[in-house]
Amino acid sequence: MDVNKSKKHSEEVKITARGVNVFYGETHAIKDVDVDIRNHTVTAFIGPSGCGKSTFLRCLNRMNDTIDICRVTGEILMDGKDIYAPDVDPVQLRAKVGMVFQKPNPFPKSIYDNVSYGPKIHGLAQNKDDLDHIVERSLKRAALWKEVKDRLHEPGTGLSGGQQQRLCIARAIATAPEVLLMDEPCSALDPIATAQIEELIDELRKKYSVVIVTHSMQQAARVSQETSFFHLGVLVESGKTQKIFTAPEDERTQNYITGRIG
Amino acid sequence: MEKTHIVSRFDKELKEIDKQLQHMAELVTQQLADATEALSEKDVKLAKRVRKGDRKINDLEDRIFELTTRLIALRQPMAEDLRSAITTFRVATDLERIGDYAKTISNRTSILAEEKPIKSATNTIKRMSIVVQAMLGEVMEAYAERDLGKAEHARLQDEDVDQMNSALFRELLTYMMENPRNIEASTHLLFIAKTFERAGDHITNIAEHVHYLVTGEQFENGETELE
Repeated sequence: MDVNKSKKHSEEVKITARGVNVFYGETHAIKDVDVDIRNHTVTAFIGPSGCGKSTFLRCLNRMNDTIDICRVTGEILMDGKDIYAPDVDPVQLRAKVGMVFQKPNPFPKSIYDNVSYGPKIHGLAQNKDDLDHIVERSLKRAALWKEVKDRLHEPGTGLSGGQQQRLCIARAIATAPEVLLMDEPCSALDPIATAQIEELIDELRKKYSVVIVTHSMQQAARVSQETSFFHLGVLVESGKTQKIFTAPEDERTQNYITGRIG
Repeated sequence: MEKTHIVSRFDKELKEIDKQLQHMAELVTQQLADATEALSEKDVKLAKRVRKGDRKINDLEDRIFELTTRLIALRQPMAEDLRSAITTFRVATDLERIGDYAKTISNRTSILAEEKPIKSATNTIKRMSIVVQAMLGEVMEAYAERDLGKAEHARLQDEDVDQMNSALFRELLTYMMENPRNIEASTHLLFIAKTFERAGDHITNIAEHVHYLVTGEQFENGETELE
């Protein structure tokens, strides 16, 4: 089925979700979702507000664990291993599955400390040189290095919104994750900062598998190769982005992406 | 498909483009009918009017391009809407070409009016014209109604047009062999028949655009076009 499959990267499945259900107390938020997240691929989750796309995204690095009334059933495998298995440490998991949120949320610390925090607590750096190296590499990968290299010890909160978001991306990739989850990473940014983040997402795809939740269909169309459409907690349709935006199979997808009353 | 957009202006704009396209198709059909009548009645005045009328069709094509470009730029249509916008472009281009054919037929009509008529050939051309006009009407209905069955029916009639063209070719060849003085008129008639045959091909294209519009997939034809 993958006729235009790129030969450059192996795009084997990184995360497999099967029969995933999420309950918030009595509310059945996610209903029997099956989806595959591929390596070196940007997967976009789209759908109206409250459709469950963010909830599902948060299952992928067990962010929902932090909510008491939240219950997740079904199977989510990363590289064939169940991420909800009792022996999996969620903190270790989150180092491998990084996350970037809607609003940039740098720590109230220096730019340097923001990026070095993760590698430090996960013991990824042997010494100061190592850490400097990780900080520089992460900031470069997040396309922020040039703008901040002379003021690494100034507070991260002093940066512009777009720079803060790229700082958060640098922070997320500093722990060398394999998957990067982005929950509406551009919704608080202007078009230029958005374009920079989108360019960055395309760049990040070379190393990571990226999952992005977005309300902007144009953004999903621009940055992703695979798109999944959620509606009322159900995964309605999943497939090549090009196909979803030109000729979706399901009428609900069609109505949503063309802006018709569903 | 009957569901309306949340932004109602979007619906209005899509409808406006469709309306212009249908109007363009009506004009083209009328041009073909007039060109055919001018030919069979040796009506040089009517032929001249057809030549002038082509301007209107070209203007409509420009108008449709403009409206569609604006729609794409401002509304960023997706899925079915996107296919609809793209299809409008393509259909307008084919219609414009058919319009050009009506004009070239009229150019030849003015010359043919001076010649001795070849009645049976003219009748075949009239029949070709009627089939082509009917095909065009049907394919535009298929477009408006997103009806694959009608599109396919219109497409298949192209074979009749091709057959009439080949039959006419043989007939005119006989005339030319019989009497060299028939050659000039016969050649013009051959070109005119060829023009209708080409118009049929463009209608076939439109039927294929309708296929894309409805299914999202390019039409794949087992047989390849001869020319």
